Amino acid sequence: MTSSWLEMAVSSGLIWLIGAGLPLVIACALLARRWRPAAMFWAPWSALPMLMLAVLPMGPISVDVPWLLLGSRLGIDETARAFLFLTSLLWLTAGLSAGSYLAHDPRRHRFLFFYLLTMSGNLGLVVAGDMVSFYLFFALMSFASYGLVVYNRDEEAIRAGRVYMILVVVGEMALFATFVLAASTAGHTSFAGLPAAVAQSPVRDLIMALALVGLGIKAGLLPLHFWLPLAHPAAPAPASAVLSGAMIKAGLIGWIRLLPLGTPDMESWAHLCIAAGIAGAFYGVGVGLTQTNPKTVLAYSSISQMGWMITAIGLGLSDEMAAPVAVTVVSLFAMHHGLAKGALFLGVAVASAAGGAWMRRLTAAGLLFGSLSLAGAPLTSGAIAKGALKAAVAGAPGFWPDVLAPLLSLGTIATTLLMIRFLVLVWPRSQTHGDHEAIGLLVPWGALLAAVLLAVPLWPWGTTVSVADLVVSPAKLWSAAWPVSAGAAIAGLWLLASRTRSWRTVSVPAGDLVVLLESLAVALGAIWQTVRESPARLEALKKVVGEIRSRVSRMVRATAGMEVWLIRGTTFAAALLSIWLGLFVLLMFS
Amino acid sequence: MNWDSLLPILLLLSSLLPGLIIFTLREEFHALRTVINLSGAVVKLVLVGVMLWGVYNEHVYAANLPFLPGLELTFRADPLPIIFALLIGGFGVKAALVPLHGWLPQAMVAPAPVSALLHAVAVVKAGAFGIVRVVSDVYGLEFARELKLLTPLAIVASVTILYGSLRALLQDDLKKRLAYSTVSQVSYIVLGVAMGTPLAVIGGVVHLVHQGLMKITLFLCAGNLAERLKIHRVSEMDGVGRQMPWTMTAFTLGALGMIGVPPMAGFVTKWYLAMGAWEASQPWVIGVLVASSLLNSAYFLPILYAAWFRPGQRQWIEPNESEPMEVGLWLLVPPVITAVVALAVGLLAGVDVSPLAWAEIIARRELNL
Repeated sequence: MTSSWLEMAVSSGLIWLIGAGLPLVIACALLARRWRPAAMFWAPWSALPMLMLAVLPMGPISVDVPWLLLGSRLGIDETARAFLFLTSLLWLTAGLSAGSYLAHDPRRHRFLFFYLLTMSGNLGLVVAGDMVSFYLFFALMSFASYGLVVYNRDEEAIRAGRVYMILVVVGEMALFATFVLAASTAGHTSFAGLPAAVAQSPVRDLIMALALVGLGIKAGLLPLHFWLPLAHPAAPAPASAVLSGAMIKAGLIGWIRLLPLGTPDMESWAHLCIAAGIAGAFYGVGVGLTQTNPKTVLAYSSISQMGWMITAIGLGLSDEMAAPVAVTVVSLFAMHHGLAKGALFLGVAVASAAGGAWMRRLTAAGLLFGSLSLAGAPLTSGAIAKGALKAAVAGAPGFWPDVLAPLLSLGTIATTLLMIRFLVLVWPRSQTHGDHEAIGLLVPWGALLAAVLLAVPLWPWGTTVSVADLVVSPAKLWSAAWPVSAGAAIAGLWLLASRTRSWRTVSVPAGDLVVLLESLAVALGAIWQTVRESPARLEALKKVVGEIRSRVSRMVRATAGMEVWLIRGTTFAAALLSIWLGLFVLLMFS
Repeated sequence: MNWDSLLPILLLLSSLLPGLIIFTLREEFHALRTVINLSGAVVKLVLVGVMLWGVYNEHVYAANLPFLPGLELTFRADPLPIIFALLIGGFGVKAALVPLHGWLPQAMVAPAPVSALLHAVAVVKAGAFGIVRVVSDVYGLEFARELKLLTPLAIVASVTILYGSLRALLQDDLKKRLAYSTVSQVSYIVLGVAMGTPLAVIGGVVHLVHQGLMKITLFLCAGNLAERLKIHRVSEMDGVGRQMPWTMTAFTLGALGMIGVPPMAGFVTKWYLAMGAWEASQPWVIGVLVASSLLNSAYFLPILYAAWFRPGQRQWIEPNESEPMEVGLWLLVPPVITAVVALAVGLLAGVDVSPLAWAEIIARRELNL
């Protein structure tokens, strides 16, 4: 009986709609004062159905839902399953910790409202099987997360929100054009067979460029990354965790669905993606090292890590054989980074709440473990992700295989440095208040850390990537261990050196490029103002017109009494003319 | 000398001369300006009548002017395009096509329910409907395309869309902003028909319904704001979301729909128009749609931001015994209903009874697409 109900729910697509729609229902319940306490309790748990769907053993399914929008398609495949697990787990744990983090905030129902809306969009876009429903959930996520970014209402949050909103709108428009062009050339909106159709399209390059812009804004693709270090730290910590852990991956899912991975003749785009990815990977670390806010450091680290995932997308574009491996690598890397980054952001919240000595030690241990995982220390999920990427590099086009392998090691050193910078900034110091706030945060944080430890090694990644090979062989252990140690050594030397003498440090304002853009906007505004206020040409034109007008008017006034006659005369003449013309026509054509 | 050939030139002069004279006269000579305007119109009507009579008798009116050395400007009175232009011009006033749109933003001084009707249903839709009829029934899409009449119409519609959005951006008066938004949005219908491919026509026809639902919501909400809080300007809307949550929720849904955010009705329109543009091999229209959406966001999103995220500066009117709700129920329920319907027709566009399905049936059965 139950199984038939379940089958019906799956085959009609209802199960996906319930999974994505449950947060919306609870968000509506939040608005009614009577249901608010219950809704606030259940809010984080609304991610649970999707988490269960992600771990249930279910083959690839794709169901048509003809009545929704322009005919939708929902379902799950191997890629979606990995992303769904990551997304729902992050939203669940961050939501649970939000309950403690905002326990004394009278406005927290507003936070949860936007949290649930964004969650619904983020979960929905993972199971979307066609462009229109993907666009629906993507838009819901993008617009609703504005409420999370500006939640603190200080000047910084408002500025971050403004920059974010402008980029959201630009991204939405680029994505709209992408999907329209793709759907027009493919003749359908379903994702099935879409990459092949895009590859054949006469406007393939335009679609590629628009897709890179539209989805790259979410993914922190250089140089569209600058909203990220503003918005992610501005939000409350649980929201930062999902923004930087789960939402940032939405662009990757879109690319996997849309881009013609594994079709020939895409080499130039592969080069572009790899170059942009590597640039982002190192740029993020470079600017991140100069930051003083631990959450900003983490945001820059996200740009850096997303750079490696974009590199993996580039690998998939380069070679027919490399595509399935690249997709798996992207999913694996995304799961590793999402969980670790989410854990670190929640860790910032725990560290600021931890008061007692034991609690501080526990927090420090958790933060250290999260940082080591992100840096890619041996036996962590980071080592697996980096190892998988390194194994896939062999399929890169041109000179990239020779360059990428050492660059990857260099990247690990850089990430280690950035993580040490983060740990220095966030290290829990003794505080006066007690631990009772931290204890509420500890349970979801611990669950997330456990997932960081276990999820990537235990996840069934299929035959293309063998996790066991990546972890246990001595060579792999060594190749994961030395860059991390080297990074730690460099950081140690640096700390020693800075103890003996003070160095002049560079500081880049958070959001780097946006500062330039803002001053450009100010300059343009000033120019526009000057143009408007010194209207020499306009004055001249007005003078000429005024002159003519006054002359004509003087003439008319001179014949003041004649005005009436002029009016009558004109009317009479017009009437006469019409009669005359009418007669003329009649005579001519009769 | 062929006197017939002078008629097109006279027609041109009859428009130009009175216009110039009127422009040079100061406003105090109001009566004189009116008279010159009218007499110009009289002459023009007569000339047009004459020409039509001649055309009826298979005369050809053509005049060549030496415009530039080596470039002749040919005035040619082909009857069918002229009739088309006159018909479209007539309906275009009602549909507020640029440059015949001037009356619509002036007319927003009417009370909110009246302007809601004016802008959403009654008047502008009559014009848009007329244009749909002229293009698809009187001329027929194929024939109009053969005469090369559709592309100019599409250009006029595109200019109207962008111009209306730009002007809306500069308005502080809420209803005036909505009025210019109407100028822009109604032309989506014209644009869809002017592209003339099945998907585009479906997009245009369905926008007859969609634009009505969304715009009526926005105007009714603006009326509620004016009624309860005496708010008429965008700059006064800080924090109104908390005071009138139902009204502003409906307003938000309408505004997001105008921008084209799924799942609102406006998204369905834009999707079909953009797909139709590709089908008609006029991809520049996609650019127009994207630019228009950007402008729509630029003039709607700041309103939503002010209403929901800015702290209120005004003296709040607390709900009391006599007014337990934010406004009276009869003012509140209609915009909420239209907003929900605007949401539903987008979200459930795939259902057999949705406006989209009707538009598909119309395009298939009536227009034989």
